[in-house]
Amino acid sequence: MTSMNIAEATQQSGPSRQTAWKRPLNLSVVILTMVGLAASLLAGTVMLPHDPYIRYQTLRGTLHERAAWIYERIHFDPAPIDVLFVGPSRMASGVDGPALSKLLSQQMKIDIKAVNFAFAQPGDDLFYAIAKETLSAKRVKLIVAGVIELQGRSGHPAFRELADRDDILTAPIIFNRSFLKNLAYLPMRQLRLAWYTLNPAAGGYQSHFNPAAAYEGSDLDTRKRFSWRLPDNPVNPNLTEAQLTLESQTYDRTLVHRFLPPLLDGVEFAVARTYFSKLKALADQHGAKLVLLYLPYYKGPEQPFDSAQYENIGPILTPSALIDDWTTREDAAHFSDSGAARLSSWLSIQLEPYLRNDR
Amino acid sequence: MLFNSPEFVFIFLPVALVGYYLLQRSPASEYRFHFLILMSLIYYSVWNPPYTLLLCASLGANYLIGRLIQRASAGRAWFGPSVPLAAGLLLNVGMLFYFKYANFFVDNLNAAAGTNFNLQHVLLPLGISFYTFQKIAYLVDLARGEVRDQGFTRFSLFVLFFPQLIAGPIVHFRETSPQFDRNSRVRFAAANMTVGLVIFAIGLFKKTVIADTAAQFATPIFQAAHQGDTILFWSGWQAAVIYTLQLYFDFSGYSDMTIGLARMFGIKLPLNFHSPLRAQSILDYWRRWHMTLQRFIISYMYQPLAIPLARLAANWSLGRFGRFVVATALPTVAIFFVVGLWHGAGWTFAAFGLMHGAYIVINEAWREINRKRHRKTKTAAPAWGSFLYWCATIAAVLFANVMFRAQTVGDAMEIYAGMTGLNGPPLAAAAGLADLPALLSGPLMIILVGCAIVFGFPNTQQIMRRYGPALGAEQWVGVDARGSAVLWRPTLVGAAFTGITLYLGIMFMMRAQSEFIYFNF
Repeated sequence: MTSMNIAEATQQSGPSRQTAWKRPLNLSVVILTMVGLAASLLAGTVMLPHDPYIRYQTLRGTLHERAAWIYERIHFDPAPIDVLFVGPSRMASGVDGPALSKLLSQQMKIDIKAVNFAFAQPGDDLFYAIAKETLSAKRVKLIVAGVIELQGRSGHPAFRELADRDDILTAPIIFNRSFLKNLAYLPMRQLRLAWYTLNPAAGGYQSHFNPAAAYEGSDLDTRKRFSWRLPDNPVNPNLTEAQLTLESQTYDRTLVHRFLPPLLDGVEFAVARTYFSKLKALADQHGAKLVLLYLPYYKGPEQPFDSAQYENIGPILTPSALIDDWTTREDAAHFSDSGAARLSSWLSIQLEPYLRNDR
Repeated sequence: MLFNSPEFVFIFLPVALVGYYLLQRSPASEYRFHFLILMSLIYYSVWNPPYTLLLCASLGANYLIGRLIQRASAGRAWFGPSVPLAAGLLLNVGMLFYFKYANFFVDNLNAAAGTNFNLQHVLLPLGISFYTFQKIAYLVDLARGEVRDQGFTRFSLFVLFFPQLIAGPIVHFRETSPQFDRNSRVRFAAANMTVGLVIFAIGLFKKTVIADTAAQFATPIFQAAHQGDTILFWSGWQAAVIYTLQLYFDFSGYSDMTIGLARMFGIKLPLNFHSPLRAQSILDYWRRWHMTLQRFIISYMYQPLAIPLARLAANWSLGRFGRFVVATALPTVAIFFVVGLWHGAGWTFAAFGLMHGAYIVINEAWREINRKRHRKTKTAAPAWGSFLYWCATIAAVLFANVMFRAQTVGDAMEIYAGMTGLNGPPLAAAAGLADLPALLSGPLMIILVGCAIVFGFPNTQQIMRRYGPALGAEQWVGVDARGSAVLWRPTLVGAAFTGITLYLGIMFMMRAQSEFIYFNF
């Protein structure tokens, strides 16, 4: 077997008087051109514009179906949003937005609108993106961000679908397992969204908001309308306290506080810390207050593992009386209907001072 | 880690290349191959770290057995080379059987005999079918005196070299070992990088743009068949044709990527794929599809079985038909049955193997009959005959591929029923074809594009023929050549073609990453 000599082969390739685009190039130039062209085309594709309404519709038919309603509620519904809930599925299961609005309105004797924009699955990057989208169109008085016992080490799977281009490009790189995948996904997403912006019907999307067609209203109880459950995790209607305790012990066992030494917490929890800081900055910028709602699993830790970090962001509310009450639960992590009613009622009392101070 | 994943393309590969070439230019140049071994182990361990220990144990055991074979061959042992060879074969085949077939065997034994043996689900180690065959070939070649032990580093690289570790090509030690000479200078690094990158880009495009798109149209029909839906005429043919294109571009893309990757490190791997859908017979098809597997089968399975059987047939003074049955049909069907099961532990794979075995027997018989007829009449086959042969070959391949893809034999039968009109005549099923725009933006488009590339364009080694793209490519580039004007050159046009191909490959890579079909074997 002989080594290939591309240089020799190139020299055989014909007469010297050739047009520029047919002339053999230095191989380093060829490699740079190939890689550079691919990179430039990818960068160009990332810059393609699109209609964000289409972007929020792309998750229809998935676990994150609520995204389209969220966008419509933010941008097309004139009803205000006074209290915004962003967080993981525990918050999605525990906060009844319309009930809380009613309680707060009664207590404060003014009209208060609370919306629960929490999503299934943890990932603080997405919660920041949703808050940013909301604050871009509404004057929110209070943001309530969901916190669980341990900060997330990676981003939310729907972040790459819903976040805007700049948020994906500027996401933390170190120890963010989602960064590379999100970045690599971005060109295809941008191309697809640009295409559907031009041809919404091709993807079954709406280019214009049509309230008569599908909008589900300002006071939608997202708990009942959207699932936060994965299909392989159905509700157990005959749940017992013993089963919950067992489930809770599984959570205890699988809770790994740190993989790296404490000195490197900033690296290990880069995603959560970055996005909570950004959320704080965003709230400050828009004059909104930021409160954290800690919702551990059944009989879980009394405070989050990294509570010192969270306290720098905002006050932490913990519904201690509900955490250890098994009757509030649908499973170890999520609230049942009655649990959600109790949590919403408790929240109406806890949140009132923050809203009063706003005035 | 998949070749078509961002982790591989943007992290693993650049690190491996930079490390390799930095070492090559440093005073520690001789350690660049050790670095490649390390990177290959990292590559494998990303899938399942504990199974890397299994791979290493098997590697060490085979190396020691190889040394014993060599000692015995040189007369420096009290036993002959066949003793360690038998032990090596037993070890490798035993491992393959345990990890790949133990569950299948126990399940079928329980079903057939009403027993209740319980075996925990055994996880199939990635690439075991490939690296096992490679090691068997090494041991047999040592025993035959065709190769000599050249140290543990070369042997390790021969087995572990990451571009070919998981799904081949199944290389011979004598092919790659000279290329892993630590004292050799790496020449033409820029040229190898260029050629490797072009071939890799073409492979990535085939996999992510075409094969993964085709899968979106074939998979739902196979799933529908599995759920018990009735498959109609056009749906049946759509499943068969599009899955065949998916499999074709998946494996062709993988073969290109593996050859391209190896070439980036200055290593040439053997050709594994040469436009098999242009073949005019099943025999020719198998010469061009998974060429290194076919080579392994002939050298290490078919010949050791067929030659004694031919002698037996001669000893028994069998007639022409008897000789054909014993010396040709029997070993062919038996070997293809095994080859079918090599692809996977399931009855669909066994049936796939038997179908191809039967095809080859028919092909051999036809060739025999034709040879005699042409000798008698002294006439050549008519021109239209080639077209008919091609049609028959394609139809045979399509039907076998349905069995290959189906989850159960029953699913395949349902699709066959659709394809043959048993679930309703073609006209009754034609209503779905009325929506031509939808068809053009979906299955029909992928069929048209796929067929245009398969039948109208030169393949990768033909495009890259000037630069010796793979071992053995020179014998094949003239076979079924299309579009001879299409030749890659290191010009602005060539660079732009590669840049755009790479761009599309990467773009589509993130649409949906799917495993290469052959990674499962």
